[in-house]
Amino acid sequence: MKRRIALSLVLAIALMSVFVAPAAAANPTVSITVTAEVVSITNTKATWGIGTVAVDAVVYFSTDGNQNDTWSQIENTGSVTVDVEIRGTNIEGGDYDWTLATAAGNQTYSLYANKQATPTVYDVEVKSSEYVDITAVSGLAASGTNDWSMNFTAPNEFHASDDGAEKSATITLVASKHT
Amino acid sequence: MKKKIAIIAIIAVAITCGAYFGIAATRSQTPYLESGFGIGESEMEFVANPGGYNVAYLTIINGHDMDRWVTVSLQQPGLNRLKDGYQPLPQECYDWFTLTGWDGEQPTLEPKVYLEAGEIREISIPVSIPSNTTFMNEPAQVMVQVTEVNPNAFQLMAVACKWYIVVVATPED
Repeated sequence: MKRRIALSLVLAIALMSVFVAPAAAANPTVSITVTAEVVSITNTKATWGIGTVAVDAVVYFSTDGNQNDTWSQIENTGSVTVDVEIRGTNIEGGDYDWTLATAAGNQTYSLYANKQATPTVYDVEVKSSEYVDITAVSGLAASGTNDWSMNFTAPNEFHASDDGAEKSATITLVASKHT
Repeated sequence: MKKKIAIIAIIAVAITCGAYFGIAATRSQTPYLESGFGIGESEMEFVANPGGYNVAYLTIINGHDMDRWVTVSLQQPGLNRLKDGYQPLPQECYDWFTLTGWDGEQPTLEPKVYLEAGEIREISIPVSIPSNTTFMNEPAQVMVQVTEVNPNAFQLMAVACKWYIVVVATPED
């Protein structure tokens, strides 16, 4: 029994030296420090059927298509304050795509979001190139909610062959720890 | 007493192994999400040497409302989301990280993860710094984003873990 314990101790020390030795030498390493906090959000609406739109039409996220500042609500279900950002895509379908742009134009459309602090002002441009913040004021605390909405402006000109074609786009809401 | 010594020796080995691989993490109790999904890590900091290797773990927590598919990707942080003194990690460095997935039964090369309702899955992300990298001493940030897969949705939900990386020269012997 004594021999077995002595043997296991020797083995343990030998193993330790195997793992300790490289750390003390110049071997390359990658050290990782993790912050264990839960990042999670929910949003009350997932779909938006805009319906048939006329050239240059402005449509709001709401049950009736008119301006409404409380169409959807984000809730922070995680353990840490988060920022919520939004990113859009081009509208695809039919013969020609509509490009997401700063202003609606020929074959281009625009999307603007509001913030809870200014519910009737749609001043957050949704872009396809980068995420932009739609969180109220300075981050959304754990268990906090944020009402928000968007408006859509259709192109002022589009190809006749696209008349009546179904098209769709996607927006992504992404939450990350508040900076 | 003898048993205690043996146990202490084993614990010492375990601690030493942990220190060697450089992973410092503390976990609170398992989070419960009623709906939606989330991740268990908000930030990770990497200090790496050229030629270094390690494995990072990202915990994906699925809500109890439904089974889900999610994708894992690297994204550039928005300019107003950069930590002071950091720059976006150049896209040519993205292949330092190997993103993999899980199809419900086994790991997959495609970074797409299947989660049952209420499931918590830890995915491994090997990190391998090329020994000849010239991107050194420049603190950089990248977002590891988990996005739901829903072909019928107009709005997709996503959560992101901020990764901060700095590559420093290998210390002299």
